[in-house]
Amino acid sequence: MTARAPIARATDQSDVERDAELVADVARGQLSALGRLYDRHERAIHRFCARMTGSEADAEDLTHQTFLTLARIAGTYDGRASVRAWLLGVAARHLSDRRRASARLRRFLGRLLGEGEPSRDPRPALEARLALGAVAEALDAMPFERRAAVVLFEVEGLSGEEIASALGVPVGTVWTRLHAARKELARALPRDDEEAPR
Amino acid sequence: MTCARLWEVEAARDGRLDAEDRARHARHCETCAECRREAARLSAVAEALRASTEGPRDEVAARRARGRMLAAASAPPARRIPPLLVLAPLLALAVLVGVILRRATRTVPPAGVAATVHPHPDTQWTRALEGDVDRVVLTEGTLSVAVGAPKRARLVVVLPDGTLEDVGTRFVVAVHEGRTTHVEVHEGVVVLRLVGQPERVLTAGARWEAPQKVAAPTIESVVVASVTPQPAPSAVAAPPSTSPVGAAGKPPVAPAASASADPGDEAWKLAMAAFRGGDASEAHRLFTAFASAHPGHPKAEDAAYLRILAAQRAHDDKAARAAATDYLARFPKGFRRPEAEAVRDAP
Repeated sequence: MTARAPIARATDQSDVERDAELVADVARGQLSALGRLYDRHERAIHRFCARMTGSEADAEDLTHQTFLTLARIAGTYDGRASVRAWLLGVAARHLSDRRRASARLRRFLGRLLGEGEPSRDPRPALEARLALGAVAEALDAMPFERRAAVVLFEVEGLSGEEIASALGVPVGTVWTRLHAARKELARALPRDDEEAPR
Repeated sequence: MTCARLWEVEAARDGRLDAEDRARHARHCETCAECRREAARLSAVAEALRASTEGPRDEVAARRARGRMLAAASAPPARRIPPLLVLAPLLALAVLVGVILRRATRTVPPAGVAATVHPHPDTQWTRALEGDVDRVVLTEGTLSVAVGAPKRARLVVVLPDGTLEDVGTRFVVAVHEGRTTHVEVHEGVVVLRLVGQPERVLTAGARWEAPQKVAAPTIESVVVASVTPQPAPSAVAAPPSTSPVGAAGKPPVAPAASASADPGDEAWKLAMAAFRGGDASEAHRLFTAFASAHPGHPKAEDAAYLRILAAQRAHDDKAARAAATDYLARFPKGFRRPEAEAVRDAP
């Protein structure tokens, strides 16, 4: 009951080794290897980015950036994390950079227009919020760091250690963020006080 | 009532329990409704999260995105513009502004003139090129003048009470309340002609100060020097004999009149005394002797040029041409080359 469903995890050892070989091939300049890695991980990267940004266009752009970054830094892959976790970490850094730039731009525009501190939410489209539902809305409202941790854990299936490596934080921090994120998400769910079936 | 082991539910989900603890936790959940509810709640959160994440995917768009990414990855990296190239236009602009500002604060010689005039603060002066005369009119303040070689035009500084003709390369002249107060020659020779006073030839190291109580001549009495200095009674301020200065030597300031045991200095003083005294023929003879006896003397070039002037004053064109030829042979890059060439090539 407490175990996670094995979603989209690249935990199979042969997959991990194959991914590592493909990254090495990319480092040697083989474009076909980059294409194969894209086929294997694009969906996870895109999903993560879409979940984090709530925007299909942003997700596509960030996925594009992530794989171009992979082509450039493939030689730095050290094999300590799975390729998927490593790529998700690259995407997370792009997300973080974009978030900072976006926040700066919003603050600048806010000052320029003489408005107060603008909303932290870059996606005010109400329709999009409604379509995502209460959980998605709660996810959207939480801080970037918690959102990244819970999406990487519950949706992308990374372990706490992998998330720590991807985000560059201690694993204890990952647990803390996960706990806080779950509490916020649970509040968005309808309460069910009935005993769960055995 | 809250189960004391409720925390284990999340720990188990996170993978923070080892195998033994995980087995104990599973056994506990079989009998603890609260922990089962907590586990179900966490699963529901995760399920809701995944459900809200997965959306329909446009596979065609995905394939297009793949193609774009591979095309971008295979393209040669964007050529990064070296920072120097980015900065080059800025540097060029800065240099241009610097040049403009410099021009605003410093007078660059007009075309054909190799003299540079540096006005001291609050100096009132003008400058104009008139034929072969580069005329600088100083009415108040101080000018530092440097005449480079070759020089095509004579430089004449018009003073309220006379003129100062550059026969040398570097000097300072000051005017205050309508009269010349100070002349200091750092290199070469200048001829100072003040109204009512004998002509003074000031050589490198010489310094002339106006007497304290001399009636200031008016500006109407200015006399502009002619192209060729005319024979006139001259008063020469000799350079300091104790610190000989070469053409590019340091500018000693102390006035000179002290005796020196150096035979070259003595010969120079004798020649200058004759030149100053208006005995042009004797001056020419003495400068000729000086040139042959002391070819390496710091005053050698000045003496060679003054030898030409002395011959001209003596109206001995042949000697002047010979002196000019000798000057050009010995000092092919000399400061007075244009003048020497003019004398040599004169009809």
